[in-house]
Amino acid sequence: MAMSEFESDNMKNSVIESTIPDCIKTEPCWLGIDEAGRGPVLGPMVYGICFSPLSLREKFGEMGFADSKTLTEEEREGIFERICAASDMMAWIVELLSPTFISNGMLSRSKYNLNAISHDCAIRLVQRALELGANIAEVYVDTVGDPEKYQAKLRNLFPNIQITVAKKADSLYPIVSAASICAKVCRDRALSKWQFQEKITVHEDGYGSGYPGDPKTKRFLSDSMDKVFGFPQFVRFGWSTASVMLQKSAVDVQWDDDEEEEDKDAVKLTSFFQKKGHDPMLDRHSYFKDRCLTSCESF
Amino acid sequence: MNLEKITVESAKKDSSVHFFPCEIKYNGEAEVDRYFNTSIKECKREDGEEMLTATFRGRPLNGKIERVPSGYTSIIMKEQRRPFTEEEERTVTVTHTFDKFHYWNLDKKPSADDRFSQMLDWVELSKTLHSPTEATVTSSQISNVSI
Repeated sequence: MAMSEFESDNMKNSVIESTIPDCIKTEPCWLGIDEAGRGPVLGPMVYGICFSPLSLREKFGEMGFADSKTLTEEEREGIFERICAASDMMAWIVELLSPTFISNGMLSRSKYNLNAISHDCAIRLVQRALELGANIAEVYVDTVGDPEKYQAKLRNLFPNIQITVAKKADSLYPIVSAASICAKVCRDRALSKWQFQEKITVHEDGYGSGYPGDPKTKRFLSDSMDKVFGFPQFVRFGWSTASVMLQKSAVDVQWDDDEEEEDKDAVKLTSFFQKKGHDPMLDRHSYFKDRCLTSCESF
Repeated sequence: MNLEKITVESAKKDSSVHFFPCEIKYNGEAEVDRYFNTSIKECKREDGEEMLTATFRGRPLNGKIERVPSGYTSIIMKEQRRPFTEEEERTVTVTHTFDKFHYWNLDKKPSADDRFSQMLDWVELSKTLHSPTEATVTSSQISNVSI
């Protein structure tokens, strides 16, 4: 798995692809989609797809794939090696969604939530497989959000592909299990090799699983917090664990869109009871107000 | 207010000043290099123009390098000691001057619609308003003045 592109700039998303064997272009394939690292407050979320000819379904089933969550890191590495060794009958693509991308999406002006980020990434990966010439006949995916809506969305985009959206798809369909292993192995590697551009020294016990409940993760968060800048780019700022910590222990920051929900132009009812004698003609011209310009006589 | 001219001339030049679209309720030293400058990336816009991106507190920022209007000097002042009483004369020292700085918008490409860019028209306008004029102004000229 060539991680060098992501390692060179871990603020940006990055796509890694296996080689594509010819049988995938000539024979109808099934394709599984799964993600790793959705819940953690640390590190990238990784989306993975794995695809293989339907004619080799039985042989594929014998490879012993299981949901990546039930396996240890070593077991996952072992299975991933087998996936790579079987490159004549299957292919995979993973996309790393950087924690900066996730934070920026969730905290942008038009909030880009995790479900939408997930759907878009899954769609991009299927499109990429098609672009590479894969003959995809069936797609299996673990649900994100409402399964029926997700299924309808995918069917609409890929009318010629049979789409199955299911809960626990990673344990039901080996092609999804394989995708989950590719994604999880990629996330494991990204975490273990994370380069802190902020030159953070991590406690010898590490940062744990990255799940908000993990005491090691909690300690990492409080150790690496800066009162002005918050956290290093390794942390997903949109997670409530992170934002609550900042609210409690960091310097207050106010954005101009914070109170945007209130309609500023609406005339407040209380304005009718304001002191008389205020001459609006004495206010500064809106030319200056709009430009935030005021006269300054002292500091 | 005491502000000695000599301090402006001897102050250090600094080009790493950032204009932020938020208010940080803090005054003092900050780890700008470690936490912020490392997040600044240069990228090309669709129209080919160079644009900067960065991130602060998880939020996306878009920015550019802005020059201080010619004829103006930007200064950073520091008050070494707050006065005990209101009557006491205050002394501030100019620690840095700068002629360019990073201008940042929250998740919005810098454009002429930004309040900051519009503020710059005042610089132009005030130049005209405050420059000496001919003694006689015709009535037609007066009626043309509007803001």
